[in-house]
This record gives sequence, C-alpha cells and structure tokens, in this order.
Amino acid sequence: MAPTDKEKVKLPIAAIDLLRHRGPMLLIDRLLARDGDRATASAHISPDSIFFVDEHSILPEYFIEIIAQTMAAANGYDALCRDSMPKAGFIVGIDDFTLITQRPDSSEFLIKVATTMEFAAMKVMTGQVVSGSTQIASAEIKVWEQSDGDGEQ
Amino acid sequence: MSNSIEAAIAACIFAMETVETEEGALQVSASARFPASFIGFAGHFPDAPVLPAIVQLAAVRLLAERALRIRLESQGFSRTKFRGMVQPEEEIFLQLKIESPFPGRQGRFKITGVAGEALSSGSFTFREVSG
Repeated sequence: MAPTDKEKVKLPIAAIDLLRHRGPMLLIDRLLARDGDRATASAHISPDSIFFVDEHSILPEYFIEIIAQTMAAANGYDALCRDSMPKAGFIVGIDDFTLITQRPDSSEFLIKVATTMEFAAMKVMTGQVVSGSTQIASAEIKVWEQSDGDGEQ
Repeated sequence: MSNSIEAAIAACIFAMETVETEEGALQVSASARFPASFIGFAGHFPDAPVLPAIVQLAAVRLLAERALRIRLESQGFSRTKFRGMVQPEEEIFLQLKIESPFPGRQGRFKITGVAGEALSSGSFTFREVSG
C-alpha cells in the first residue's frame, strides 16, 4: 500500500532507517523514490565488500538480495509514513532471476522494483538492477511480510 | 578474497557425494552447517540470525562447482521456493541434479533439514566462467 502521508518523510532516506539489516548484510544505501507500487533505491559495493568473489566479480546472488532489500525499504518507508514499525520481510520464492553479468563496469547500482501482486502478507515483485545505462540483473521475487502477531525469526 | 562470503560458504559445505545417472546427469549431495560466527548471520538479523536465502542459492552453485570442477556463475534461478528458516549451527542437506548439456548447466536442487523437512527447492541455470 502506498504511504498516506508522504510529506512526513522526505526522500531520499538512508536504508539503515528503513531496514533491519545491518553490517555487511545491509546492501543498499538509500531509498530514492516511492511512487504507488514502484520504488527506486541506490547501492554501491565497496572494494572490501564480502560480496566480491575476486577483484572484479561480484557474488551473483548479491543482485537478488539488493532487489529484495529495495522492496523491503519501500515497505519500511510506507510503515514510517503511517507511524508504524517496519515489518520483517523474507524471500519465499524466486520465479525468475536473470543475471547479465557479475562483472559490471561500475560499483554503483540503481535498483527499480514494482509490486505486481499482493495477497495478504505475500507480495510478488519485479526488479531490475542497472549500472548507468547497462542492465545487470532482473528478477521476479515473492516476499512474505511478517504480520504483527508473528514471532521474530 | 580472504574475507569473501563465497569462501565462507564453501567452507561450510562437506561430505559431498556424486553419482552419474545412466542419462548422463550428475546427482550431487552434501551437508552444510553454518556456524554462529558465519559472516552471513552478521546483521541478518541483529536480534535473530537467519541464514539469508541467497546464501542457500550460492551454496547450491558452489556445490555444483565442486562436483563439476569448473567455475560457475548463476545465469538464472526459477521456480525457487523457500519454505523454512535455517538457524546458526543447523545442519542442512543439499541435493542437486545437474543435467549435462552445454553451454549452460541446468538442473534442480532441494535443501532439507535434519528431519527431512523441505527448506528450499528450485531450478538453476549456471554458465561456466571463462578465463
């Protein structure tokens, strides 16, 4: 659901204020835009990141995680606008993931996601990772959002 | 990379067995246990560590690499489902069926817990890393 009072929280906003991920597992930097069912975030990978496989190659699965974290940040932003706590979200399915290259020319990424279906605590979303004008990866991911009554996992 | 999460994942996989089927596919199985000190638990999440789903996928690829003795990267995953959480120190079992056709390495995987409960499953396409 889109936020009801966007004036409360100005974008961009640091991902650390929207996500429960911390330390080496906090992979996106900022939520840049939130419009209806769409969201955009930025990420960069530093040379000392644990997600580098070698000097030039990034762990392929890293790109799935930054897509999922972008949607989680969007959900966190919506919650913030409603004055409620962000809920934990977990990847429960990947219908499609395509990686173009794990050796992008740049270490700066833009992640664009859109919710395509929502049913109860389940959301289906598509996401794309681009670096400049180059597409790096795309995915269709199912995310389950923890409800208020669920225990922490 | 000495602090690479990929190297840390690979170090958690053990007891690999491979069987070649009559059709030329390769069936691979192994166990994995991720200690509480595993870097993937750091910050995922601070109050309740859970193995990231992408670590399960990376473990599948690394097991395929070990079995095939070639370097692979993920070209794609599909029909992948995650049904359960993996906690620190929990032993899990990985099963892969890798079809032989080139240029991609396609197959299916299943990860189960100690009681045989399904934790994740899906299809993968890997490609050999050149150079």
